[in-house]
Amino acid sequence: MIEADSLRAEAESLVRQLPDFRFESGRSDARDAGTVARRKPGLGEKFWQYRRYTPGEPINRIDWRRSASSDLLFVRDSELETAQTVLFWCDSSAGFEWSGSDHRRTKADNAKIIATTLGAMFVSSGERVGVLGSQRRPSFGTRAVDRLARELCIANNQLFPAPPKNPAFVIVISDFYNSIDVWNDRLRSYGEKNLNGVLLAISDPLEKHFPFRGRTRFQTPDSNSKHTIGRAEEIRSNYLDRLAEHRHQMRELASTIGWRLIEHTTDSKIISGISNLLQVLDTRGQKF
Amino acid sequence: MSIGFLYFGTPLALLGLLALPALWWVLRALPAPFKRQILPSTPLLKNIQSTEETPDRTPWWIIAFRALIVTLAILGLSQPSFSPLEREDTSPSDPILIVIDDGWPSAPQWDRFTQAGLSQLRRLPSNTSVYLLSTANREDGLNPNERLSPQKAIQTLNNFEPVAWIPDRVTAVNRLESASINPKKILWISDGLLHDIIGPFQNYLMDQGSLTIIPVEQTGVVAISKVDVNAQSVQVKLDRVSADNQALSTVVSGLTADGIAVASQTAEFSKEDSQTVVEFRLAPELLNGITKFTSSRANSAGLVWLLDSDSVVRRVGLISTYSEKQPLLSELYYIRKALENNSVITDGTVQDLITEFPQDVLVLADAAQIQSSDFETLRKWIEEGGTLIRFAGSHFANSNNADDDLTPIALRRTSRSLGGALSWATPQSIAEFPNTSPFHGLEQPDNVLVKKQILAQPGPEIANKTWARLEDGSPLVTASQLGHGNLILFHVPATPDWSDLPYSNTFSEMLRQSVSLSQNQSLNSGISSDFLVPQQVLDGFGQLRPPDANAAPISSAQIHPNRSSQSHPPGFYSSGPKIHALNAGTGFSSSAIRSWPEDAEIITDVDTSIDLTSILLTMAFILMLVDIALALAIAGKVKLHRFALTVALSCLIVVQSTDYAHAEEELSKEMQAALHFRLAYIGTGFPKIDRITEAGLLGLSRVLYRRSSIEPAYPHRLNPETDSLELYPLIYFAVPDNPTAFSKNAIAKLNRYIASGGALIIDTRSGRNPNAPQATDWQDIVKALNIPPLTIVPKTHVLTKSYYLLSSFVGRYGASKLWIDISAAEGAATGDSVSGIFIGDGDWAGAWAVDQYNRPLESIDGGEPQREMARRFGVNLVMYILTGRYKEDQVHIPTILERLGQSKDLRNQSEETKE
Repeated sequence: MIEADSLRAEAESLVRQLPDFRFESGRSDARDAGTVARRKPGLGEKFWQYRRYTPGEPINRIDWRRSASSDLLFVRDSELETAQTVLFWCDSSAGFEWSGSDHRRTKADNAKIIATTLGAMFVSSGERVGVLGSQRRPSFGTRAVDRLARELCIANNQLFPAPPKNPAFVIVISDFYNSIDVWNDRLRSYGEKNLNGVLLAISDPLEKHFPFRGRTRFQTPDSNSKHTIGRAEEIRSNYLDRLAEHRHQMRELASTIGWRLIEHTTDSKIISGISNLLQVLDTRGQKF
Repeated sequence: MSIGFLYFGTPLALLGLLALPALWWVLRALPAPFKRQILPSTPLLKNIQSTEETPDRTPWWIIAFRALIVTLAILGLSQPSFSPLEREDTSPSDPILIVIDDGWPSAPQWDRFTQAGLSQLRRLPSNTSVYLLSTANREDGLNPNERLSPQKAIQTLNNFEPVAWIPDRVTAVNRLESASINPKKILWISDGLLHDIIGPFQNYLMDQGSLTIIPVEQTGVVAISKVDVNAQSVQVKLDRVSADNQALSTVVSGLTADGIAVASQTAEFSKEDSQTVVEFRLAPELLNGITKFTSSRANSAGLVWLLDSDSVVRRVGLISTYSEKQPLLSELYYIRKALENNSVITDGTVQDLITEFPQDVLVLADAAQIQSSDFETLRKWIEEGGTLIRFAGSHFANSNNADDDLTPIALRRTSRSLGGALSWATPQSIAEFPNTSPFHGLEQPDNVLVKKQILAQPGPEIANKTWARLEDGSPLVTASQLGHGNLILFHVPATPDWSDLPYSNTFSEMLRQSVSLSQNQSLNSGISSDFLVPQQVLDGFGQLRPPDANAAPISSAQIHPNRSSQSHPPGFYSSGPKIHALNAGTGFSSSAIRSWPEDAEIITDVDTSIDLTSILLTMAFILMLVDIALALAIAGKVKLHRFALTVALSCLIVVQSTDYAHAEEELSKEMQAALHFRLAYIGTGFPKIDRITEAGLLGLSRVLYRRSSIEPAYPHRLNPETDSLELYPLIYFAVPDNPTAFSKNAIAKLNRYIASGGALIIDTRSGRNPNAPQATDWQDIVKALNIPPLTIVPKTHVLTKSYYLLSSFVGRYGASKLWIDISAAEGAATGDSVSGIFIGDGDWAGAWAVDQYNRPLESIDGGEPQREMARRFGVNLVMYILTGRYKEDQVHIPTILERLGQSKDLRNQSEETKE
C-alpha cells in the first residue's frame, strides 16, 4: 500500500507531464461562490462587459455613467467567478487492495495515484477537492492536495456514502465487481440529486484476461467467495462474457444518471488512464 | 516362502498387494490437489461449472507411479532375498544332510559357508529332515545323529563357528557311519582343500545319496607356517594353498600383548610361489615385546603365530677372561658359538655389564677377570633378578678367594680327574636328565665324556639343585635361586679341556635353556611337571580366549606336534614360568581339490543370496520423494528444478547435522574431561550422597582455583562401568550406607585405573558417625579391587607438606584416619611411587561441600577452623596426586640456595680479580 507522501510525490510528477486542465463549468454549477473566472457573465467581482439594456430587466441594474455618454441604456455585467467542488471515492475493499503480480501496483494504489493527481490538477486551477463521505469539508490551496492524499490513504469505506448536500462533481474509483444491484442502489440517490460524476473501473490484467489452467480454487482475498473449477481454461470464454456483460450493465447504469464509465487496467500506464479521464471530463464540459 | 529365485522372509506382507486395486480406486476417487488462486472477480464465476469436473483429474501415469511405489514398499516389507542357486527339485520330505568344513581355513570366508548352507535350508519345506555334520573333530560340532527341522538347522548354523584346527575327514566319515542316517541328498559345503584324504570321503558321501558340492571360493588360503627367531632377525614363513596361481601380497605384523603393531612387513607371493618368507630385523627389546605375528589378510587361526618364551632373544653378557689365547682354546668362543643364534651377546667387565649395558644373563667363565669386590656386586645383581651362568675350571678350583661364595651348592675346591693315569675311574658320560630339570626333554648326548669336574660337598639338597649329572651321580650342572635371580653352575669349563661337552650340540641346548630361564622366572617353580596347561587358546578366527573344558594339558614331549586338535587347540600353554605356544599353521601344507567326483553336482557360484529388502524400500522412498516433487510441480507450487536443488541441499544438511550431533553427543563428556582438569566422583546411586560429594568436590575445586594454580572445571560424576576413568587424575568415592557391589567390569576398570597411575580416594565417611556403614559393608566392595598393602600415612609423608604444612588430615570428624599404599609411604628409598589409593573415614567431601553461594552445606566438628584444615588437606591431596613426591625434594632447598649463593659469590670474586 502506498504511503501518503510518496503518493503526493508521484502525483506531482504526473501533473507535470499533463497539460493544464480547466473545468468548463456550466452556469448551473455556479452554486458556490469562488475565485475561478469562468469567462462568461455572471456573479463575480471583475468587470466583464457592457451590454444593451433589455426591457423588463430591473431598472437598478442600469449603469448610468456608461448610459450617460450615449443615448442608449447599458447594463454592466461582471465575470462569473465560481469554484467547482470535486469529491473522490476510492474503493478500499480487500479485493481492490490486490495485485495479480508482485511487479504491478495494486488496483487501490492505482486509484489513489489517479485521484491525487487529478486532485492536484484541480487544486492548481482553483477548485476544491475532497473525499466523498469524509467529515472534512472540501478545501482548496496547496495543502488541499496533501489532505486529499492523506485521507485517501486512511480511508476505510466499507459503506458507500450518501450524496453530499452541496453540489459537487463525484469521481468514484473501484473495480465494480459487486453485483449490478448493489451499484444501482448506491448510485440511484446520486442521480436523484442530479449530481454529476464519473465512474473509473480499474482492473488487473489477470481479471481481464483470465489466463488460468488446470484445477483451481478461486477465492476473493477476504475469502468471502470461493469457487473451485476443475479445468480453468475451459471456462475462460464464459468468464470473459460475464465480465463484459457486467461492464455493460455498469455503463448502462452510469448513463441513466448521466455519468460515464471509464476503464483502466493496472498494466497500462497511469498517465494514459488519467488522460482518458480528462478527455471524458472535457467532452462532458462541452456538453453543458 | 519362495517364488522362483526369490525368497520371502515375511511372506504375509505380500497380502498387502491385494490392496492395490483398492488403492487405485481411492487414488482416482480422491480429488487431485488444486492450486489456490486469489481473484477478486471471483463473484463473477458464480454458477459457472467446468464441463469436465470428474474425469481425468489425476493423470493415469501418476496413479500408476504411486501404485508402483506402494508395490515396492510392500515387496520390501516382505523381506525378499534373491538367490541365484537352482531350485531344489527333490520331493519335499527327502531328508538332507549338510556337511560343512569348519576348520580354520574356512574362517576368513565363514559368512559365505553359513550363507551357502542357509540359502539351501531356507528353501526347504518345513517338514524336511535335516542333518548337519561338521568335518572338524570337535566335541561341540554338528552331530549327524540329530534330526532337525530346517528352522532349527538355520538357527544352529547361524550360531556355528569354525575351529582353530583343520578338518579331519576320516573321523567325520566314522561319525557319519555311526549315525546311520539315510539322507537322500547330501550337500557338502567344502573349503576346497585336500587336507588328508579326499577320495574315500567323497566316495562315502556319494554312496549315501545324491551329492551336491558347494566349494566356497577361497581367494588363497594362507597360513603362517613357521617363525624362526634368532638374534639377527625374525623370519616369518607363509604358506599358501598351491592351487592358487595369482600374485598375492599381505601385510604381516608383529603385535605386542596389548595389540600394538611393533613391526610390519609386506609378504609377497608371486604367481608360482606357494611359500614366501618375510624377514624382520628388530632390536631385542622390541622383539621380546612381540607375542604374536599376524597377517592383515584375514581372520583365521592359521594366520596367527604365537611366540613363546623360546622365541625371546636374551641379552647375554660375557664377562671378559684374563687371557685371550688362541680362539679355539678360549672359553668364551664356545659360549658365544652356543648362544649367538638366539641371543644378543656383549663382552665387558662386571661393572660395565651390570651398570652400563644391563643384561638379562651374565656368563662367568672359569678364567674370568673378576675382582673380589665384584662378587658382592654380582650377588646383588642376581638377587634383583639376574641370571648368572658360571663355569668351573682350574682357575676356580685353585682360587681360594673367600669372597667367592657364588655357587649353588657347597663345593669342594678341588677337581676330580676321571680316567687319568693316576685314577681308577673311567671318564663318565652324562646321565639322563632328571625329571625336575629344565634340561629334561633335551637330546641325550651319548658320546660326551667328562674327564674332570669339580665336586660338590655331599648334602641333602644336592638332588633338588642338580640339573644334570654324570652316570655315577655326581652333579654336572647345578642351580639355585638367589633372591629373585638364578645362579647356574657348570661343573666343567666351557672349553674341551675337561670334557667333550662343549663340542656337543647338547651343550648349546643346555646353555639356551639356562638363558631362557632368565628374567624373573624362578627356578623352583620352573622345575615342575611334564604337563603344559593351556592358558589361552585361539578360536577359528584367530582370537585368543580362555580355554574351554575340552582343552587338555599336553606333555612337553608333544608340544610341537604338526597338528593341533580339540584337546590341544593352538594357544599358549604353560608349565610354571615357561610358556609354550602351539600354533595352528605349523607345517600347514594342503593343496586344493582339483577334481570333484563326476556324479556330484557342483555349484561353483555360491555367491550368497542378495537381500533385496533395503534396496526395495530405498527405491520406494526415493520414488515417493519424486512423487511429492511431481505433485507439487503439477499443482504449480514449485518449479521442479528449484525443488530438486532444495531437496539435495536439505539432504546434505540433514546428513551433516546428524553426523555432527552424533559426534557431539558421543564425545562431550570425554572431551570435557580431556580438555579441562577436573575432579570426579563415582556415582553411588544415592542422590543425597552424590549431591554432597559433588558439592564437596565443587567446594574443593573453588578452593584450589582461588589458592593454587590448579584451576579445575566442574566435577564430573562417573559410572565406572561406562565412563573413561583414565581421563581423571583423581576419583573420589564416598561409600554409601548400604553400598551395592561394583560390577565385574567396573572392578576391572577401576583396577586398571589404579594400576595405570590414577588415584582413587575411598571415603568411608564413618568417622564418629553412629550411623556409619559397618566396616564389613565397604570392605566387601573394596575387597574386589586390587588394593596393595596399606599403612597409615606417616607423619613425615609428603601429604603433610605438599602445599600446606599439616599435622593431621581432619575431615568432618575430629580425628580422621587416612591409609595409603605402603610402598608410597616408605620414603624416598623406594623411588617415585605415589599412592594410587587413599582410604579414610573423614567424610572430607562433606567438609568441603558448599552451595552455589559458597556457603558450607554440612556441619563440622571443630567449626570453621577445622573446615579450613579439611580444605587444606584437600589442597594437599590434589597437589600430591598431581605432583607426586616433588615436594620432598624441597627439603634440599636450603642447600641448593646456599650453593647458588656461593657460586654467585665466587663469580663476584673472579670478576673482582679481573678488574
